[in-house]
Amino acid sequence: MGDEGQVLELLATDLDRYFYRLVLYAQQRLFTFAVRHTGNPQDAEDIVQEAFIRAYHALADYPAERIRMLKVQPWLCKITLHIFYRHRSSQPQYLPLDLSEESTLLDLEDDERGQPERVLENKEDLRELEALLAQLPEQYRVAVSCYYFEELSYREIADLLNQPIGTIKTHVHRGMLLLRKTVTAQQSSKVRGTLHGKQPA
Amino acid sequence: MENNQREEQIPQESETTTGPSEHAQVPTSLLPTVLQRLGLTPEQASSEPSLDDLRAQLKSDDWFRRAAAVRALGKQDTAIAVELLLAALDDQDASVRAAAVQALGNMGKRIPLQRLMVTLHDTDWHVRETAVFVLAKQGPRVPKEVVMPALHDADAAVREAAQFALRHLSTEESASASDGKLWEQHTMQRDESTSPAASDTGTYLPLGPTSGHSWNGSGKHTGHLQSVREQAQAYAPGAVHEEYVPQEFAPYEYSNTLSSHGGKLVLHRHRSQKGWWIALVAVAVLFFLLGSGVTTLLVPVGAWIMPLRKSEVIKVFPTMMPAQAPPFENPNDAWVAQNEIAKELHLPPQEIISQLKQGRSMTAIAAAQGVSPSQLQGIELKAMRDLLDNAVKSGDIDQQQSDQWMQQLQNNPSFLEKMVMVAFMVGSKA
Repeated sequence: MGDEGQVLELLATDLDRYFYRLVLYAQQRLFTFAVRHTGNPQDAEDIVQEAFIRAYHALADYPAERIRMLKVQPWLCKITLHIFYRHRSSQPQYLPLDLSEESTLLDLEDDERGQPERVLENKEDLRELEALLAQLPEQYRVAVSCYYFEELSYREIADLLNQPIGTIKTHVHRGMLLLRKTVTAQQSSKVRGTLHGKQPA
Repeated sequence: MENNQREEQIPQESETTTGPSEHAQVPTSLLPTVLQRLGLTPEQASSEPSLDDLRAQLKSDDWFRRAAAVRALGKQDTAIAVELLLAALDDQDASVRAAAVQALGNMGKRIPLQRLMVTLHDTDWHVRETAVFVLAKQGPRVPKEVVMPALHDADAAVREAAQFALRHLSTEESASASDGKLWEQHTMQRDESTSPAASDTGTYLPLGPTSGHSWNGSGKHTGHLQSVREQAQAYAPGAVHEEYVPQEFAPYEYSNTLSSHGGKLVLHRHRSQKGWWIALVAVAVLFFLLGSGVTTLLVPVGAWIMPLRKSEVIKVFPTMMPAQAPPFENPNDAWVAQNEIAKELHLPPQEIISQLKQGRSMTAIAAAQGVSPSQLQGIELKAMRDLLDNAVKSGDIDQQQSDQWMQQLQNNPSFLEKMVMVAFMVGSKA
């Protein structure tokens, strides 16, 4: 039985006593997930707090056998996303990237597949990538985040978002194209800036 | 709760798990805050709050405090607690509503099953999911067909809950006739009631070994039932099936043969067109025999008498009209429903009356307010139930008559719509 299985077994046995184990087990991934969507840690903390409290109440409504069957990560992501959507309605929106059909951002070749982390050269750039991810249009951001970062399957994401699998695949693909294009554009801009900086006055 | 023991087991911050993005460190305040808000810290010793405390807590602005109050109320076996929990079913927060469903589901035969059934059509997935679990564990009081439509819910979690619930329902039916005995083996051990069952872990439907049998609402199998097979086939991998729209009522008719509190749901298959025609002819003959010399019918009797032409009565009250005068025409009772519905639609009652007089339907009025037909149906049913309860309290009708009216309102959406219109129009004439 893996870590998740052990946590679920404990929760099924005594929710009040072992709920902290679920928080410890999932808080890092859930917090990171929330940061990717909110773009700032303060909002993410509020959302994750609420997500865990709602998770507790939901678990209290479940039979023990149902708890044991739970797929914790997609389930918590689902709860978190619902809270995020509610919070978002009362907060200023990110300016989304241009996702229109005419946008050149989607003109990249399709053969550059890979993990989004690999788009960048080193770990320090991951923070930058996540900032860009937060600027993606919502449907792409959620799909890319769940697929690549949370490592959920297409089916799990489709169930989470109540959308067809084909739609999810499209959103993941397009989201990655947008990310790659944006990263490439930023890297080109940096290079140009560096070159300009080295030019003698 | 063994808080001390748990405290010992909580590892230090350095022992927390780390994820793929290490730069986004979880704030150290997260875990303590969550536990504190849930009342799970060692300092928050388990003390039994008074009913007044819980009543006040139910009015808190914080949803998690209201949810905690609902859970505490669920442990109090009093009529007042039941009433408060019923009110909590209409809380604006989904977690509070779900907690109320769960708490009511544990209160045995006193709970109004039909009220819980409405929650199968809640807008929130977790409320619907909880309703599935709660209704399924009522044992023979609730036919499995009540839960089956949830197999096609738009939300995957609800569908999964329905699979789970139906699987265990099937197990219960085949293994024991005792109410919810096996199900209780799956309830939380923290209730210290029973130990969880060791069987069936992690397996899914379709429907188990008894899925080919029908359920006649009295706890006896009657042989193979086409609808059950259809449900099983619809859920088979690769099967093409229509997505369940949670707001719509299932094509079954439910009747509460006892009282609105408790009792058993009796399920009938949809009446055939032939049956409707026979009923229509029978009522026509009845009216012909009884009212051959009468040109008007006065319903009901009292200071608020409003004469209706016989043709109007027949038009307004279809074949399912019970024998007694309708309470929806009493302005004092109608006012209750008017205000409830108007409040939910965010319109003043007079505005609704005005629009109805212009020929608009309630569905159209609701749609303009962003309320779906199914949501409207839920709102109307609740309003009419309160109206009927009010009529019972004032002595206009008795409980049995109230149940009959409610049964017909639930069975026939068009009848419900007409009665709501009657309630509004009568009020406008008063």
